[in-house]
Amino acid sequence: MWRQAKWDEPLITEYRGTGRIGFMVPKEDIEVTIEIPEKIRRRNDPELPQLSELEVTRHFLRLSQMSFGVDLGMMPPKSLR
Amino acid sequence: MEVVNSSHYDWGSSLAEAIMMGLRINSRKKVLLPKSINPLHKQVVETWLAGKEVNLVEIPVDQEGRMDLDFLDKLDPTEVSSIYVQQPNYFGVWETEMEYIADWARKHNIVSVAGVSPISLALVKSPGELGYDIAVGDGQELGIPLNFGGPYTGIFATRMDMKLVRQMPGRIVGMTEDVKGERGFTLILQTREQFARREKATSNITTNEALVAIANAVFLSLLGKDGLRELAEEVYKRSHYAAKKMELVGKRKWRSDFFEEFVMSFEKEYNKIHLHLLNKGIHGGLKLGPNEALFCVTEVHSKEAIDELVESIGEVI
Repeated sequence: MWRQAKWDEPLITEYRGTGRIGFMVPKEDIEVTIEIPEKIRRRNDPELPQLSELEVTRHFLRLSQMSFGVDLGMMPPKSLR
Repeated sequence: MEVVNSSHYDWGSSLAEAIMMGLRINSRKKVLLPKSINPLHKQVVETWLAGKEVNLVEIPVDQEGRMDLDFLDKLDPTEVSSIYVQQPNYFGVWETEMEYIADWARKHNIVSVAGVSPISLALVKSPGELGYDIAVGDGQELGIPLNFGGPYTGIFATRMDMKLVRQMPGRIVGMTEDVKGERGFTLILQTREQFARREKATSNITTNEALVAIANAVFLSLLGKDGLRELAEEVYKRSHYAAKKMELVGKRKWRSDFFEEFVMSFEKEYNKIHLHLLNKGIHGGLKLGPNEALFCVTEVHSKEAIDELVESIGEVI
């Protein structure tokens, strides 16, 4: 018998984090100046969250606990596309 | 852009769907594709348009490796259904006149489609900001490993304009409230879809790439706004380091600024260089002509590996 977990989970964009990154970008010691042509250079930041690895992991695991799929039980063919 | 669908196989099929959407919107019979488009995407478009009596017109490349905009003035814009631009283009070069192209299309009621590398968008303006009608791209670079061609996901987005959204292929998920007033998500605008409309549906070839799309969402959430910019800057720096270093052994075909990929031309036949690299366990660039190859450098290529590549090419030229 499956009973759905229920978390009061906000959308990931509603989390209020600042300055956090959940992924360490590998960096090389290279001296190159970034010169994007003026006409196309981006001036505003993309609208993405700023969260730690733990916050992101918890968010997606909570969502997965609330969902049902073939890995948990019967999912008849064509019941989803 | 406000509306994103679910979902397509890859960039190529997203592009083909965008062009089909353009044909549904204005019923014109000419489609403009630049020569600087990924040839694999072009093949997908050609396959999908077979039998539709649509005329594919190729926009040539100028001396800077960008789309030749003078070509647009020679056309009758009233015949054109849609125009496509790839940013950065197939040769890695930034298309700098993105805004001009979107404005030109809008002026003549042409559907404008921008194909973008998602990571590069941390550095350049997005298709939405530039005023494009449709954006397409590939989710592969957002945390999906290479896997013999798939599964990947094709990104497809439009502006929140019902003229566009009603012609959009694939499923659209909307946010709503249930009877208890709680937030919920459900499929919306289903009258466009194959259950209701059969062969008249906006598409019958979409697919569920949700697993890949969730991986994309996790990857982007981990990177966040600062991480995405850091990653894009690192890719930019490493590829420019590689291009500069490669000039010791060859010549860059175009001097324009680029992202991630660049075309090198050599005095020697590229086949011989490639074979030598393979013998040393290095997979070289993608051959574009007898003496030309396209090289790609991202955050997975260390400085040491780039140096080794250049040294190895130096041994045979």
